[in-house]
Amino acid sequence: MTRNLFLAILSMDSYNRGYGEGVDGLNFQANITKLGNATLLTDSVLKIGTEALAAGFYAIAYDMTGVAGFVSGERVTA
Amino acid sequence: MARRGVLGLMVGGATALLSGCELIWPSDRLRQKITVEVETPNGLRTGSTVVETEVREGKSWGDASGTTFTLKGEAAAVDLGSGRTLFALLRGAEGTQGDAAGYQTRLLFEALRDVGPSGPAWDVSQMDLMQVRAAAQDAGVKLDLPQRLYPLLVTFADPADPTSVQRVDPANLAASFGPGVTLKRITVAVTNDPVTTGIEKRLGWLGTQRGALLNIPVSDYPPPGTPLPFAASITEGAFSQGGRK
Repeated sequence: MTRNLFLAILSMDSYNRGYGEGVDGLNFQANITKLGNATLLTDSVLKIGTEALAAGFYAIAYDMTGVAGFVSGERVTA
Repeated sequence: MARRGVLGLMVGGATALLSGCELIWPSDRLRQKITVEVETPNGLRTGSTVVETEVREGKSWGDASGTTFTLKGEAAAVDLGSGRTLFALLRGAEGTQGDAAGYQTRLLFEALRDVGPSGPAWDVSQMDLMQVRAAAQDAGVKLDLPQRLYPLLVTFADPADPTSVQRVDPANLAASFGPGVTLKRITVAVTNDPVTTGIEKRLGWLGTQRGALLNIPVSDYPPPGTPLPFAASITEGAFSQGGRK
């Protein structure tokens, strides 16, 4: 697993999770749900509400602690 | 050809193309009424809401399905006396049911498949989402929801304070509202009634709320793996969607 490969996985995860999810039942619990060792911290709906969805905007923030290729506490938004 | 004539042709052509899109990639719009019935020491109390969902199928690109769901409507409210209100939110109680638009769009689909071939729309086991929605509309379906398909139920210790939101256990309303208060059932029915509005009159903060009812900066989060307060997981979109200007 390389850093770039995991970043690509996060992009697919964000695209298929939450609003307009591409995979059924792929909701998440903030600060709890994990993708490998990465933790889903929050998303744009929790932070700025649902209006951005009308413009097609959606993003998830991940904590990368414990993921190879990332610094402990590093955060990624996808 | 005069410029106006060219522009007219272009506009007409674009209109024709967009109309063609409607034929090639269909959409459907469906209204459903969700009714919550609660037994109390003072008798039966009910509250309902009419929401409208639209499914639009489109061109898929790569892993993008091209299908979009939109939702218009608001949470159902049941007045239980003494200033207490039970709200049935737009999103499902179970975390696997997706966001509010996904939950509401699929609700009749999931409920009919749960009932099985003896249901009011007959055997829907081989039908896709759009087909089931069409069958439900044709049959004028009304169903009791199984608990696994219940909307998320909440109440407020103080309706003027969004951070006071509390989750309500459908199997134990008495814990939230006192002895003798029990959930009788939650139903979903196809309807042509207008979409319900007016929840801002109950929750005055709703019109300006954006995001989680309790906004905790990420820098203040507890360590990953520690649950956040319930109010940090509920947004304004769980109470109302599609109605803002």
